[in-house]
Amino acid sequence: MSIWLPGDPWWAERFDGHPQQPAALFVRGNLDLLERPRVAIVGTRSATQPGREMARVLGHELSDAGVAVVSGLAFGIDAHAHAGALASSDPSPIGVVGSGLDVVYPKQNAELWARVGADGLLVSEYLPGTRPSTHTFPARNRIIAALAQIVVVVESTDHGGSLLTADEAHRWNRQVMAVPGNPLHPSCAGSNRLLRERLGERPVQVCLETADVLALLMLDRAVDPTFRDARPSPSPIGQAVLAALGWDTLSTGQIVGLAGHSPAEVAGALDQLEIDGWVEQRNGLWAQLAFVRSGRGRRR
Amino acid sequence: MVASIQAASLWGVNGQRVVVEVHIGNGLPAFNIVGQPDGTCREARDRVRAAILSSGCTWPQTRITVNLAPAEIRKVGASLDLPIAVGILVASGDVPADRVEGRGFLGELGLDGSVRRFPGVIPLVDAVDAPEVVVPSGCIHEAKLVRSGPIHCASHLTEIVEALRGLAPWPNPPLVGAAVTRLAIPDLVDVRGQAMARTAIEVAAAGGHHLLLSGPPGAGKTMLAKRLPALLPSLTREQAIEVVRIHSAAALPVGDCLPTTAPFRAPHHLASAVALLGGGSAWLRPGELSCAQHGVLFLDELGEFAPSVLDALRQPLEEGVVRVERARGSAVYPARFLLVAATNPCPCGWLGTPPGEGGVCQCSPASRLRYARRLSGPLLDRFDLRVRVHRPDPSEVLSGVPGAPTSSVVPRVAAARVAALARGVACNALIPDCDLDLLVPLDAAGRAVLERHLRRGTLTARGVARLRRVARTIADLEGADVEGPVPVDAVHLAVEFRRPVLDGEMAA
Repeated sequence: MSIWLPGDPWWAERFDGHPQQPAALFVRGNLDLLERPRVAIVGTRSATQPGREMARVLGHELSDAGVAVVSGLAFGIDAHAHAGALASSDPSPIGVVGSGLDVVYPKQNAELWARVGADGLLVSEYLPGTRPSTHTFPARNRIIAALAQIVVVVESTDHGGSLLTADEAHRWNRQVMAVPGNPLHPSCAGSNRLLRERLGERPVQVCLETADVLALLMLDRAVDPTFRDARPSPSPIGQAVLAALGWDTLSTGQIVGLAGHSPAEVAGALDQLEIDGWVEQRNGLWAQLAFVRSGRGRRR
Repeated sequence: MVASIQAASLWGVNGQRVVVEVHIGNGLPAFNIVGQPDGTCREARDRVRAAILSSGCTWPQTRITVNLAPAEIRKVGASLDLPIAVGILVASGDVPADRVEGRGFLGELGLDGSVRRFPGVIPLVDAVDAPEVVVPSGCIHEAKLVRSGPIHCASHLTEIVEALRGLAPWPNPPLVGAAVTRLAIPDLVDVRGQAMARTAIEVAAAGGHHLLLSGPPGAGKTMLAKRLPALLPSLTREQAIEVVRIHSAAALPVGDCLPTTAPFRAPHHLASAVALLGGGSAWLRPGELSCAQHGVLFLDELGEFAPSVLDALRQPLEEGVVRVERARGSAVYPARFLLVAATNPCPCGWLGTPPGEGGVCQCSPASRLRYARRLSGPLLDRFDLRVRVHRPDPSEVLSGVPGAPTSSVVPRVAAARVAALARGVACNALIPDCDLDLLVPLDAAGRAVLERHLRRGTLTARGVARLRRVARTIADLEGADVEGPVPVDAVHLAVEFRRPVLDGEMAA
């Protein structure tokens, strides 16, 4: 672990002159990541399945394009953005946390935390041993905004903490993007409002795919649009299962009802689809995985 | 004068023979009961005295000592009122001693001399060591379920005294068959859609595999569970007698004829460990687990049960019996049941339900994990069938197309049970580990599926062993070769049934 203080050569470019700059930063991991272009991906902890997939795809594809992915290591969007970044062949996650670097929170993300520390960079403004509390997370958000050039809000509830991150980004003069979501879903209410109401003078840009973010960064490392899905194509029953599943999260019983095949056939098809990376199961419900435009993914 | 009367007292699910000895001798008027009577039994003094006086007999104004032999075991309950009263009448010369030879007596007395029913009729009647038994009129049908010898009954102490003196016949009811009350047994016709859950209860019934249902409120978890007893094989006469014995000992109402359908017990989630397992200070009452013997134990809102109560289920689930050890003694109750549990996926119940279909989950990820963690891994591991149920689609509910009825499923379940019996086990869930390779052989495809899951860590070795028994049951239900390898479809379905259905649940 190392400590950065105001006056360090790196410090001036990011924080100097700002009234809310941190007193010091504790960092652990690959410091070179800070030399890369940096994009923050933030969002709600109770994300929808399409939202989680969007975060994962953005994290993976941005990492592949040589962009560091900054996020807060929380549940939901944060965790999926970093899971995507870590699955890339050139993982570049930067995790900014609201506790001391030795206090893992939430504990369920311990594995993610360790992998970000190993393959990426962990950043905190708190002394080791500091426990997280209600004020450390909003404070953490301003570090996320400060470290990134662009902040992408994937999904946020009406009062979500990621709206605070967007406010901070505005304050630190960073560009904000948001992914439009289902207008009826409470998990997307805040991010949609952001798109409509803009922040101060600046419009919030729409992010529909990784290329939108790269264009705003003015990087020519565009995602190859001709790239083909490398996953083995599903069997006929597998296709029926995927068609039944769509982008919902469904129980096996619901898929059986919609796909018109026997429980045993659907179970076999789901098993194969899971192995081939088409679907995953969480909380007893199945969800489809989005296609990552990258041939350079590495197996998790 | 001394008299001795045959009777019985309850211990666990068994009656134990008790001899009530009454001595009437010189001394100041007194009435003592010795031989470890409990509170209820000791209060018999006042009931017996009032009942004898109310029946027009005289109360001996001397020293009366009642001994409940054997002296070292505790006697509980009011069923010894009647034998004590009869003993006093014999000892005081009101009733000839030879008339009580070869007769046992059981019954609670009212102050007016009425003879009342008492809990535990069946085990007690069975335990009385005499060719004839006299019981309250209210329990004659129950008593006849387990005892073939002559049984007399009476509803008032005077009737007994007159019958014993030979002045009147026993007021036995005419020998008509007891009225058979048919309860409406829920049928699977009412279940619309829910393909996985239907398959799961069929597999559970056929193989005796414990079932965990997880889903939002209104998905039909309780409805599905209630349809399970009708799928289980009908009780044999021996099993039915065992069931009524336990129910009687637990003071549950027992019908006038032997049950044929497996029992269904659904204790509330505030139940204590003693209520579920059995025990208690008085007579080591059997608990809900034993009352579900040969049937279904349904634990609704599994996550709301106290964690210590749930962990106490693990040993009975493994052994099929409950052992209750107390300072006063120990008891072993049978507890071979099918466990069906239902839980919400999160505290509010709406996790995973799309918006607009009832509710949206408002639980924080941390509270969801806390909820899932109330259920310990070792307990969840006992559930071989885990099904995520969903609210039925409105078009299914209103389609008017009935689901397949129970009667269409029962023959398949029965055939699978026969196949299991041919393997030498009562059901496939009881196949011993050492016989798995012999009785549940796998083909190359099935082995490949399991190997993949073992390598990825989504199954453990113990999980695979339990899963193979389920696969055997699925294959039996589909009419596969009972000795050949299990088809890969059955393995796939068994893997699917073993997938975790709760947030943060570990692979097993």
